[in-house]
Amino acid sequence: MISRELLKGTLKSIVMKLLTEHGRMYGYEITQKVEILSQGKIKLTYGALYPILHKLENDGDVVTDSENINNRIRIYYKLTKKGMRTAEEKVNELQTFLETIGSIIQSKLAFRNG
Amino acid sequence: MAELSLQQVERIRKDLIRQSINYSHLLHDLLDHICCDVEFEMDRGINFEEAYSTIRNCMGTDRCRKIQEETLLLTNNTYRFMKSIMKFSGIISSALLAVAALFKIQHWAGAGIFMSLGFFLLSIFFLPSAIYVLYKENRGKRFFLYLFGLLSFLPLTAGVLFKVQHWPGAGILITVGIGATVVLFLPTLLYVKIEDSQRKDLNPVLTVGVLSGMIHILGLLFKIMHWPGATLMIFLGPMAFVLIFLPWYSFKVYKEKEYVTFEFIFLLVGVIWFILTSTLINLNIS
Repeated sequence: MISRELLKGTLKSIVMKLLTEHGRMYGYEITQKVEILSQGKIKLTYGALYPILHKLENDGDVVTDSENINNRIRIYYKLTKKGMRTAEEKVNELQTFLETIGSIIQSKLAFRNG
Repeated sequence: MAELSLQQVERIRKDLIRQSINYSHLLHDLLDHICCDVEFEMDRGINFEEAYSTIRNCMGTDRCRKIQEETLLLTNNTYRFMKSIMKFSGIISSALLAVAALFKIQHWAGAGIFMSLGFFLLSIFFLPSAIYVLYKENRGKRFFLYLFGLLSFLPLTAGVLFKVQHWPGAGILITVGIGATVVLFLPTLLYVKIEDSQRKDLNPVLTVGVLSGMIHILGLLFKIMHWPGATLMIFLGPMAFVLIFLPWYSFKVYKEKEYVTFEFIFLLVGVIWFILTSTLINLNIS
C-alpha cells in the first residue's frame, strides 16, 4: 500500500487522467479502476475522492449528469474542455515530477554503488 | 450481482440524512458509493445487514460528515474563512472569559475589561460565523437546534456580564436566555433526539431526561430572580434526573453491552458534576 502522504498531491491528476481516458465515470467506478490499475497498491477512499471531484466541478473542470440506477441516483463525472486542458497540464506536471524524483533516487543509488 | 431493494437503499439514505449530508449532490454520491460497496460485500454471500454493518465499521461513525466538511473547505472560500473566524474568536473569547472569571474571584482589577472584550468577540465574531458554518453543515431540524442553542447562550452570557458589571438589564437578559433554553432549545433537542433515535422505546426515557433538565434550569432562573418555588424546582429537577432518568436510561441502553463504555463513565461524571454544581449554587444563593 502506498502511503496517503505520498498520494496526496497526485490524486487530482490521477482522477483527471482516468476521466480523460474513460469519458464519464461515477465515484465507485473511479475507486475500482484506481485499485485495479495500481494492483491494489492505491486505495482511493470516499474521503479523498469526493472532495476532489466536487472541487473539480466547482472549478468548471468537470460536469455531472445523473441516472437512476438500482433505486438510487448515480452521478457521472465528465471533463469539460477546460478540464481537458487542465488534465493535460496536471498529467504533464506529474510526469515531470516523477522523472525528477526518479533522477534524484537514481543518482543517490549511483552514488552509493559508485 | 446483488441489487439492493428500495427499502434497503432508503435505510442507507436515512442514515446519511441523519449525518446532515446536504452539500450539492454529495448525498447521491455517497449513497451510490455505499450501496455499491454493500452490493459487493453481498456478492460474497452475506446478507444485507452483515454487509452494511461491515461497510459502516470500515467507514467509522461520522465519516460522511467529515467528507462533507472537507468538501466544503475545498470548494467554498467563505466557509473556510468563517470556520477560521469561528475557531479563533471562540478560543480567544473563551480564554478572555476564563481570565475574567479568575480576576473576579481574586478581586484583581481588570476583570470587567476582560469580560467585556470576551463577550464582544463572542457576539460580533463568534456568533455570526458559527451560525454561517452550522447553516452550511446542517439543514432543517439540526440547524435550528444549533441556532436555538446559540440564541439561548448569547443572552445568558450577556446577562452574566451585566450582572457582574452591575449594569441594568441583567435580569431581563438572563430571563430571556433561560426562557429560550427552556422554550426553544430543549424541546428542539428532544424532537431531534426522538426523530434520530432508532429505538422508539427510548423516547419516554429521553422525554423524562429533557423535562428534568427543563425543571432544573427553570429552578435556577427562579432562584436568580428571587421568585417563589425555586428551591422545590432545583430539588425536583436533579432528583427526577438521577432517580428516574439515569437508572431507566442505563437499564435500557447499557444492559446490552458486555463492557463498561467510555460514554457510560462520561455520563456518570457529567451527572456528578451537574448535581454538585447545582447543589452548591443552591446553598450559596440561599
